Amino acid sequence: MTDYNFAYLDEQTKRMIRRAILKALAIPGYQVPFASREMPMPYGWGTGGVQLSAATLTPEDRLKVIDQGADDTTNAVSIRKFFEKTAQVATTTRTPEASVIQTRHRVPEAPLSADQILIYQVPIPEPLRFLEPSEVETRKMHELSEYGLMHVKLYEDIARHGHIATSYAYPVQVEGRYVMDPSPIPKFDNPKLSNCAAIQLFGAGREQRIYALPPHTSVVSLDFEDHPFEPSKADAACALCGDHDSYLDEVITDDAGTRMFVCSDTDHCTARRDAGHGTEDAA
Amino acid sequence: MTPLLDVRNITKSYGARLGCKDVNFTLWPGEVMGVVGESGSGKSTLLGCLAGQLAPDAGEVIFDTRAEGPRDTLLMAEAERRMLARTDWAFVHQNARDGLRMGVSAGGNVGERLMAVGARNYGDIRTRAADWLDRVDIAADRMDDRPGTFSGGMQQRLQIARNLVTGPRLVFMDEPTGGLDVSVQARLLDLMRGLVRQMGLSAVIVTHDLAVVRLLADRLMVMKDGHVVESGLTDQVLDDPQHGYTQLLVSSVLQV
Amino acid sequence: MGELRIGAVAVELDIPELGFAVELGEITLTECETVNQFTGSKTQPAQFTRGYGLSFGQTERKAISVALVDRALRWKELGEDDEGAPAQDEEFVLSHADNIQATGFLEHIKLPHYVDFQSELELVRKLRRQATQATETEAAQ
Repeated sequence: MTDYNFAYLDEQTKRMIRRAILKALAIPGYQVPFASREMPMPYGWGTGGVQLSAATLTPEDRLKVIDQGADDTTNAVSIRKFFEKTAQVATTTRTPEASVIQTRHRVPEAPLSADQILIYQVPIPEPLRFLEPSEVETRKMHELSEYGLMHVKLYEDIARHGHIATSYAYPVQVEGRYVMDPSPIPKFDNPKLSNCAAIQLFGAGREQRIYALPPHTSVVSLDFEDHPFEPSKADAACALCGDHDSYLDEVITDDAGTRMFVCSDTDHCTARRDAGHGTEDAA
Repeated sequence: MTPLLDVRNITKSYGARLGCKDVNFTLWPGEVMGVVGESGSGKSTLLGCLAGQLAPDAGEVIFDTRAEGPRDTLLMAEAERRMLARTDWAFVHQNARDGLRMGVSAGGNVGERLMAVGARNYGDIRTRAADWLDRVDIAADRMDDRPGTFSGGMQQRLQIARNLVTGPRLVFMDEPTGGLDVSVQARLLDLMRGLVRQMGLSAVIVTHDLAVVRLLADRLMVMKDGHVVESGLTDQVLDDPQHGYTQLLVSSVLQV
Repeated sequence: MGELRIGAVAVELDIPELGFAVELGEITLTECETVNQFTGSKTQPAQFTRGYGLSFGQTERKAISVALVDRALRWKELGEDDEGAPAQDEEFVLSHADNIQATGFLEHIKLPHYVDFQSELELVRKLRRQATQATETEAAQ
């Protein structure tokens, strides 16, 4: 028996969050305010995602937690342990086996299925924040779909650098309506958001916002016809599993600057190696 | 013919202080209306009410929309009015800083209105921005510079380009030459006159400078203390002013 | 300054099951009321305006600051002009006051960001590669 209510939060709070989730799913991409609670971890460490997970988990669920693509990073380990202790749910590192996946900065490489929920931790939910600091103004811009400024930013990037200079937290438009921040995932992951079979929930605890993508929602990365969006990654194959198509981390291996590229998604890499893939695939 | 703009009984006060009262006029396609008066006469309040920036206490502002013909813009939903403001309307501010994005390049400033109405081809946007910069005499190699590096006259010309790029039918101008040197004013007026004629623009120009209305406006309204005291053809009003206030206004201008 | 005082205040918790409030303990509070510039018009005689600040602990300067900001935020009800000052903007004041949320952005910087950084790195390399190529092409001509 645990001393905590199931998944830490009290039932009324979970209901409040579920109502916000339902509203968010009904208006894809719209930021729904919610009464974010204090959690036993610092703001900025996934309090939004944790509250979503707490409101979503059932005793039968199997939870996976990712930070930077890996299951063994500080944030992932502590959040996984938190729910092991407070909800006593089963956990896993295998993407296909998880029913709820909380993530920071990555979307798993393995395709998600209809019986999964992906929960993103969001530091700054407002995609217009750095173009217009006032929340009063940005809400008006969302209300009236005044998104011209967003393309002005992309225009300025191309005029100055020759390319759109956003590489993560790359803004998207949902079902032709709301412009949304996909959280700071690399733009390589953006295409995975669109037409995804799983439910995708986004939680910003510090800023008290929840937004969502119901299954099979159209999500388009903003771009120009003649400067189309490009999901990019390091031009290399994983040094461990040989995959050409997964997102790679660059690891410096000694003081002489020797480097290797390895899969950012550790579960994806492990699964490939278990299936017999290796460096010979890289050739 | 349908008037482009039909203004009826516009009244606006700020608490006990009157902004403007019972202003009526019609603006026909291709016509330029000048509104003159000293500061506090209510002319800027009137312009704000017409352009949807201020909510009048009473009256109607009926605009001949492309899709649905004459409609009272004051009864439109804000989204619709804002759409009008970035397509068929243009607003040239006295201070270019109010009408430009100072942190965005000249090309981006001109391109913004195109992007706001859905332009998504970078090359096309750039070509059209370059064309408009050329039309307002801004050198092509300044396209990627920010307006902060421009002179006052250039900033004002950039503001005009930014406004006209979507081919609006109605332009509101608030003291467009205010704060500029006389020689710069002359060049700007010349440019504006050319554009108004070429594009067949209709405009409402608010100014205290009679030289501006003599050069640009077909018709004139003179405002004092929130009321229109005299109106008519520009030449007629300026050459043969009837109202005492207009006579004072005209006689106080140096004849050149 | 109208008044600045420090005192102990009882904290009570209303417990519905018991039907009465239970005192949990005492906390120290600092309270400040400022008297500011007077306003008035033809119809309203001149009167002073006030600001109010309350803070936890013995924190005199903080209470005074809160009172001044409180007064500045009342510009609308007092019919004053919007000077565009940050202290007149509720949104600015709330997001810059020392609420607990304000710490979150700093806290999160302690977590790893190498995935975002990798993405940024690829982009910067690409831009630099193209810049170098452009220079080399120019040099070759």
